[in-house]
Amino acid sequence: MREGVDREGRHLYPAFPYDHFTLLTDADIDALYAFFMTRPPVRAQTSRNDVPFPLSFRPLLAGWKLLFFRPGRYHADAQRDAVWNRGAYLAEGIAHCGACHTPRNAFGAEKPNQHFAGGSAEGWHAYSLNSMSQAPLAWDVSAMELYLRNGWHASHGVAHGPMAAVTDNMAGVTASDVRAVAEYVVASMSGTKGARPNSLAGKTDAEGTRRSSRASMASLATAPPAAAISPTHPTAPVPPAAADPPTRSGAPTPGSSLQPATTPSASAAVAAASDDKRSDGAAIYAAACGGCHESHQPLPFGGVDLSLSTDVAGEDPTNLVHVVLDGLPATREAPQPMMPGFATTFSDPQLVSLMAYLRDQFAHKPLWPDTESAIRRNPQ
Amino acid sequence: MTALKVNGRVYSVDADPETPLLYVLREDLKLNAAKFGCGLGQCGACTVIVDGEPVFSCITPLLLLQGKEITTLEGLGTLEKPGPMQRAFIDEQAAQCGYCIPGMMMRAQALLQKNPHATDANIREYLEPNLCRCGTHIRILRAVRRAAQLMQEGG
Repeated sequence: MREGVDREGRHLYPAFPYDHFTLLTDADIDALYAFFMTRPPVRAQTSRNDVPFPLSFRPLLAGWKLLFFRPGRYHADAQRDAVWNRGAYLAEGIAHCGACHTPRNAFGAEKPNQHFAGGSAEGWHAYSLNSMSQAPLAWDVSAMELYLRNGWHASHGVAHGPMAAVTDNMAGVTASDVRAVAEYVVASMSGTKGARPNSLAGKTDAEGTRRSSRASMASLATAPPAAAISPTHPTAPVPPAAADPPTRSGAPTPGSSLQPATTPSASAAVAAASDDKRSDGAAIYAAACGGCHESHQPLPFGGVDLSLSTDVAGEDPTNLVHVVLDGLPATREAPQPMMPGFATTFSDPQLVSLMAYLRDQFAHKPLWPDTESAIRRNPQ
Repeated sequence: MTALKVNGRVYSVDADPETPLLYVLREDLKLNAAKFGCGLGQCGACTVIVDGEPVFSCITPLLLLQGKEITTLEGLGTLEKPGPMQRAFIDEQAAQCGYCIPGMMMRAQALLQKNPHATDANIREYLEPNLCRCGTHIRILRAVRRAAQLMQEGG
């Protein structure tokens, strides 16, 4: 857990997130051990390590650790209150949020100077959780807490992909701990871009000397997600989340990035569209999506208002492609909003024109340049 | 006018391209097997087959169907000469109220066309999107297994 070394003394691959677990207290590691030892034993074959040579040569990991791994316990930040510190301890340690939400360099290490800037997991995009967040409605602590416990929030949408498993787990976590994680993540969203909390272990002078090598490694990484994000993204005009979730009919504050209260009807949108692609998209939206997403019903009964959707406004098209093609499953344990997938009905060009329409109509942004490659990457 | 190929026949339909297929099937073509359940693609009562794949016809507009082959339950057989899927559902008396059954049959048909040797686990997983409120699931599963058998016997 602390050093990334197994019982035989072999270095572990950082796929096991010991770079986060190293922050845990003695008491928590003891508690985990005690819990694991109460589980009935099972016989399970460890799957073969199919990491290709030369990475399959474990001693190389010693070099990786020297470059990227900073062991050490969590140190509380005296400038912050106890709730924030509890949240930082949980989010950076056991919950290892950054393992997905922080981009990685060419060697698979999280880039410490792009903390929470958005990363990827299991073929899904993990959205940025710092000031670069593209969420159309700024998250507040209660909304984040509800989302983490419920798996969805009426003003933000539904947890999907690997995040669905995270919120399923969070549903069983003590309310005060979920609240602390929410406090920490929301503080990060309104904080300085890329700043890693000072309180984290291993923040040493050595970092300065390491950074130069990291910078060159970062440039090797292909298309870091942060490259697609405008650094001047305005977060200020977004109205804070109200206790009452906004609905389509609720008038957003003037100058907000939300949709105008009077969304043109789909047929008006068709008429107004100048190019065929966009008008195809508008017609598909009206006929296939509008039944739920224009129903004026809040989640979980209607579809989320897409002007609130991070999948539409976000920095990466991957998740929107997944959700449109595969839908949101109804098979999870807790009651959830669900959505049918459209993989069998949409052709690729139809999907592109739908996405162009959604992006323009609900986020007032151009289509992502890598939309078509995101569609090709989808397994369907 | 939109040309629509249903059960091997080409129809010329005078409807807005945004009209859901289900409405055209039921109201214009008088093919009433596909049912309106939720209208949101969540229950499966409206399932038909498009180019071999099960599709919720209530959320599939005409504009997505150009040049595609649509099969409804009417395309699987007639009252006098039911097809193997219909025969199997009758033999197993798989319906209670019966409202979900046309959708169940169409989704099962799509599965068996792709995989004639579908296992019980395959059938359960594939039929998961279709809901039945009466609770005849065990009979439905038996009927699908019987349909697979009948299809193989029939060559």
